[in-house]
Amino acid sequence: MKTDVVVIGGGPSGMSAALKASEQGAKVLLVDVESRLGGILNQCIHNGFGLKHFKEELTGPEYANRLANEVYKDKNIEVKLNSYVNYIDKNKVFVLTEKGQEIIECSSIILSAGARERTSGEIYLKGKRLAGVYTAGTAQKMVNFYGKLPGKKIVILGSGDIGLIMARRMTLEGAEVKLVLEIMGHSSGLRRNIRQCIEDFNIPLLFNHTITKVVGDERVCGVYYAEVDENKKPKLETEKYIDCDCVLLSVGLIPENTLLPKQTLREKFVVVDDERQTSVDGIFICGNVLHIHDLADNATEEGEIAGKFAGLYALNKLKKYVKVIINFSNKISYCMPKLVNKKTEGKFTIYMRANNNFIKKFITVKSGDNIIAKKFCVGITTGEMQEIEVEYSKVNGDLYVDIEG
Amino acid sequence: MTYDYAVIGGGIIGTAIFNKIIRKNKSCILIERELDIATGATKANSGLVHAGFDAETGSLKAKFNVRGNYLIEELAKELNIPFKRTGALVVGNDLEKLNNLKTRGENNGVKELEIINRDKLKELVPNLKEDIKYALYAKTAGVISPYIFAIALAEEGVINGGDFKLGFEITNIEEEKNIFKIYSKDNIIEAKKVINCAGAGFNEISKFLKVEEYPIKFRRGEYIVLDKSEFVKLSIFPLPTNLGKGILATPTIDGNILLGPTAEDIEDYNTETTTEGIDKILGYINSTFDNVPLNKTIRQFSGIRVSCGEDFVVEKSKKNQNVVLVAGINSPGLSSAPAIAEFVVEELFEEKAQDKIMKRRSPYFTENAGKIICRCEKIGENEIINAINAPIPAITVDAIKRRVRAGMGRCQGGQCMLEVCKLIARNKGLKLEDIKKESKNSYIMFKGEN
Repeated sequence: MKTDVVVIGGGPSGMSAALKASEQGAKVLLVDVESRLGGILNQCIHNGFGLKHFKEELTGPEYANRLANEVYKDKNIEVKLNSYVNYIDKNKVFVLTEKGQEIIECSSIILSAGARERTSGEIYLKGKRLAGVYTAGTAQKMVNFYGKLPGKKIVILGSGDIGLIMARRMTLEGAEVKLVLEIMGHSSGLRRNIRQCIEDFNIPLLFNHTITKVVGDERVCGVYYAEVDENKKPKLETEKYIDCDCVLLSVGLIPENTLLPKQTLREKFVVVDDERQTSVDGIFICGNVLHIHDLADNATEEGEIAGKFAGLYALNKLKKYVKVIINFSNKISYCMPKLVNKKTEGKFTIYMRANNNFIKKFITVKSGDNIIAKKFCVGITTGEMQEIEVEYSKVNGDLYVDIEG
Repeated sequence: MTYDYAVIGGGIIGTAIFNKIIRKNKSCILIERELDIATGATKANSGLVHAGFDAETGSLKAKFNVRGNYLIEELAKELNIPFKRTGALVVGNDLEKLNNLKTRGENNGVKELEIINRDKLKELVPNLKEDIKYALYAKTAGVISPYIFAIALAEEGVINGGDFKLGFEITNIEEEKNIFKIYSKDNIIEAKKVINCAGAGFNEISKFLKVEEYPIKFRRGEYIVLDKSEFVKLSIFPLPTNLGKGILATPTIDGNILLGPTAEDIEDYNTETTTEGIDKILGYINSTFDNVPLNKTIRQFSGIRVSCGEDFVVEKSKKNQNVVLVAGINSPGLSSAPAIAEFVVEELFEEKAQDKIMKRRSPYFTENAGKIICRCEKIGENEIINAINAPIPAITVDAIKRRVRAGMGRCQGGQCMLEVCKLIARNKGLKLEDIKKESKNSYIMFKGEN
């Protein structure tokens, strides 16, 4: 089969990308491994989605449905479910379906396959390998899709957003969330989630703490935990024990980008330009497979960018420009994108995550000695993505992003 | 019915003996306490088929290892399971010790041993530190999946007429008129001859049989598993010490990398991982190799090696001629298993008949994969269903994982575990909350107050 654009992954970024690519006039094939569109949104039955993109508050499945309805109405988009992309070659996508392997020829590819959760093995969680230790997302699926509880007395390790959401979810389901432990001195989750999921339910949240050992015979029956020093090593003299029958891990998400060709340039993240094109011509990437978004709305925004330019690329309408680099100060953990096409009109947005919390500061973007964009922020936290708009016409050489004032 | 033989313990030794007895056209039942076979030491070791130069010349370990290494190649082909002679290196700068090992190996009957220098070493292991100059190269060493090996041996035995009981916890054994009655809470098995190869549970069974017990000791070995990588392409050992073969880096037959094991004597059977153990592995590996892809770490685990003295115990009980005892099978137990089975069946029980031609077992893999369930390892629904409905059915999440690798990848089942539970439940007529991870009470989901 032949098409213009193949989009891999039908979550918020993939669906948005498909819609935008189609808007350019391209024929689009949207492939997803699940039996329905929406990705992880489908298991996020809580509200808080869509405030930015749809200007109203939706649940995850509602947000997914809004996009899915548009996708299914769009005559230029074909949807292929229960289909697993085995690998991608320059202009070919190899898809495993229930009927076997299918090769799809295309002009551009958008990877929007999302992220996976970091596991107990990746953080060297000590103790036995027992039933009852799960990632928060697996537990969310267990509760929301299967109607089963992972346990009744829960300890959560990590205060990422999924962990916070699950603290509330488990409490509402009648479980007791005994403790949330965070190895860092602050949460990487959204402030509103700390408030609505932890504080409102009086759940104890300990910063600078981690689990030292999981114990039990066949299922978890408790954990040892301790305060950590500045090197994040547990201080054994502070070690305590708490009973529980379930440990949930919310210790980070990892972009699932193994499909990208080997030669794709990667640094901390896959290197992309402002059009979300990777170093491999014709391969675009967006959503959590590129970097982790706090909000589905942001993933949608990124999908729209990737979709638009992947569509234009497929139709041979994408112009080539000289590219400049976005550098940043040590107050910032990363900026997205890494490269910018030196266009002459219009605007682009730089997304950035601070590596500390700041109050009443300016985000500045410099090109040479000139400040070309500046934005006042009342509060900047590590848990919340910041963004700043820049005019292409002002870009004159490499850019430098900083937090000042 | 009264079986000719009952094999107690479904590890690699038990399954190998079971398989061999079936080949002799005798009736046999394999008895295992857990819900699957290969859940003890067999599931948690290095997965190596050793060449045979480590053990003292003249020991059972030396004899069985060298013979087992030879037998495994043909057996793996028959069982339709992967086995690869990747080779092994003992690296170090003490040429004398390496030469001594080589001589010992040759005395044990190991072929194709060679001392190699830095140039060859660099070619074989580009990531080895520059200051390591020599190695003993054993080309006949290889890798195999220890649990797939055991499962395949058992399955083939079952296809060819053998019986098995899983979850059979022995509560008593009585002997009446040369027939053993083996009791569980709600069942009796009768057999004329019994093999005790219960591993860590050896003495419990010996008590029931009223035969010899041995002072069994536990030694824990911790491991780190890395996702698939080309970091090392053959098994790299340090020079051995009296605690064992040391921490190694090896590929597995599936392409993962294993780092470990540590060697720690412990009082009770306990498979936890510890900070000290993991730090020890990391320290050693980082001091021996460059470019260790620790960002690919996906899991750690502990295995328990049992020992009762320096050598294996493989003998007829002096108290009962119808009982064979196999105890203290630590390394090189996996490599020795086919040779131990051959010895037990043909020499100790004097079953001298030619092996019968066995019906082949079929692999779980199918071209018609169905929907992909495990994304990391690309495992389809139909492959999982084949494992659930196999001659020895996989009814736990870990049993599926061992057979088809669903959940073995970088997300460690985060994405597929619940779908695997659903498939087991649907195919076995179970409720979702009844699905277990591994052992009898290891329920994946909350099952109600008790």
